[in-house]
Amino acid sequence: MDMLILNKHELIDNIKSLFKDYEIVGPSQLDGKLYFRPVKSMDEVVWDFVNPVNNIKDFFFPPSQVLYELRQDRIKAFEPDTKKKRIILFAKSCDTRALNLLDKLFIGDYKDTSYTARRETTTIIGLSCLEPADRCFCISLGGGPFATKGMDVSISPVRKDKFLLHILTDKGKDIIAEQGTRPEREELSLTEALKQKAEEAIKRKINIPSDFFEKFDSDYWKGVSQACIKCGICTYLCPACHCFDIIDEGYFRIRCWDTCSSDTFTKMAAGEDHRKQKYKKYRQRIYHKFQYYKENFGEIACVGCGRCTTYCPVKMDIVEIVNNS
Amino acid sequence: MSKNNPYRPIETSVLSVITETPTIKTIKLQPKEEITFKTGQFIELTIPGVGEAPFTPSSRPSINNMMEVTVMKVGKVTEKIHQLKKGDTVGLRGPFGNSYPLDTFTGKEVLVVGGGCGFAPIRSLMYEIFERSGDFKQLFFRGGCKTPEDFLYKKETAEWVKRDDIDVVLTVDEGNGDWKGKVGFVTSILDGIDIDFKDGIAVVCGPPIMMKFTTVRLIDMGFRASNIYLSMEKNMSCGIGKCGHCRIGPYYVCKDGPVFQYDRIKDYPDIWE
Repeated sequence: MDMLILNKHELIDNIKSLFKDYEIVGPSQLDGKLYFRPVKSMDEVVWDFVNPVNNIKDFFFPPSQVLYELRQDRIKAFEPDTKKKRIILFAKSCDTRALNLLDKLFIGDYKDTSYTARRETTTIIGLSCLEPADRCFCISLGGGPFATKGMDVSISPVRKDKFLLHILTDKGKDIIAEQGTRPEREELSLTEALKQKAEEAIKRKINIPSDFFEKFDSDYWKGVSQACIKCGICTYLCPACHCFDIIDEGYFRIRCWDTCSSDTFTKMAAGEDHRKQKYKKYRQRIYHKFQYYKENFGEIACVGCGRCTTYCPVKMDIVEIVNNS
Repeated sequence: MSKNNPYRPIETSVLSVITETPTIKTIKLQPKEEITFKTGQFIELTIPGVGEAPFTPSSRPSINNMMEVTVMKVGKVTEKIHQLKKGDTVGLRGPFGNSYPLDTFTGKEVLVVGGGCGFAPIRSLMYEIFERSGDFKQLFFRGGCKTPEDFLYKKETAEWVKRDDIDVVLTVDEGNGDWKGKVGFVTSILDGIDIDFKDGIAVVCGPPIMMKFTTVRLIDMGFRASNIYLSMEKNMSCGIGKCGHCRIGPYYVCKDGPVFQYDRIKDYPDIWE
């Protein structure tokens, strides 16, 4: 589709014009940390960053949402308010790619109506990753710092204060005004050089051993999961993890994130539990991502963003754990 | 299935409550929208203000304006289900999952093995089997419970015993003075069945430990793993293959099951727990 070269102020003006009709979500500082969260102006938005703490799945599959009010005499449904459309600014390629993975689950058999409604009414402006973090390993999973999968518009720097925009979808076309110039060969090659530099900066690689499936019964999993405190941070911050629970709080039925590391995740009312031990819970997480999701949907449910490793309180490292399995 | 949204429960009236045993009741339900289910599928039942839990209907699948679920009191939701009275309103969504593939059983010898609360899905299956009993080469039923008092559907099972299109044997772990049937685990009454093991079909439903030992016994007898159909029970929450609670290996028990041929799941660990 279309490519444009815009100056930074042209780009900012374009985005500013969208605040009237859209809710804008972007990377923004809160208490000294960066989060994707709703912003009121472009002044709140950070341009140069490695991945924020949270990822953009929060805006399609929120940590907690009321589905119904269920009473004896009435059932009231709560649907997400999508009257005001939403734009997510500056999502990185790992997060947008993960969204494509979640689409397969939530929009596949039994369409999840709230996820689908949010997907349809959200436009994603991605930003290429100039300086990936040390923990990043997207390339070994088929992604890359300049990849555009899952984006409606992608923005890549050309040089200071000048950007190359790819309009990738009709939704993207709707929000970018016809302006700027067509990219010249030199500009394209400058972006290409930045891309190569960013790719070279990603040193970490996940290498799934060829006998990974056969390792399932190995005692290896007991050893590597010993440190786990079952806090679930890795699953909550993972852009591809999607397990949830449906619980009733009083008369409200709530769908909230859940984690396969929890002691109650597989436990049934009578006490039976097919994954009681911690190592089985952790092993499930790894095999769900690297084996079962692939069997179910053709792709691995990990995008290499590295958040699970960064925020793990006991420093468990998914790359090391998989590579050494 | 409810209109569009798979999470939406349908308002459902309680028509009656039957006490089966001290810990098991059958609830007769009438959803405000017609629900058609196939035998083996399950539904999610909501008690407003308490929560939701999965059950496999125990009633005749061909009746679509009424459904029965047979519920053992084991936890928070089932305790409230046991307190339901005629006229109460609950929520119901589903049906979910696959069903017993009766068409593939056609022309074959079929053995159904039920234990304890597993009689619930089995009763629904037996209604369906009896409606077309001529389709099957031969029918066998083997059922067991802890004590004679623990048998569900005593009236129906007494009628099954009298039928001439099925060979029925019942057993209890511990008998009492009145019990005229066998005593011993259900595995002990599998011996001597004159069935074509190589081509015969076995359907097993009961508590995990009973399913485990029955399956092991059936394999020893010569049944093919792919001819043993198990109704698996895991912590099904969403019912639609998304929430992850009921996963066994690559399967969502709620969506890819709950009925599994044994060969599909036998290599995954802890399936019986």
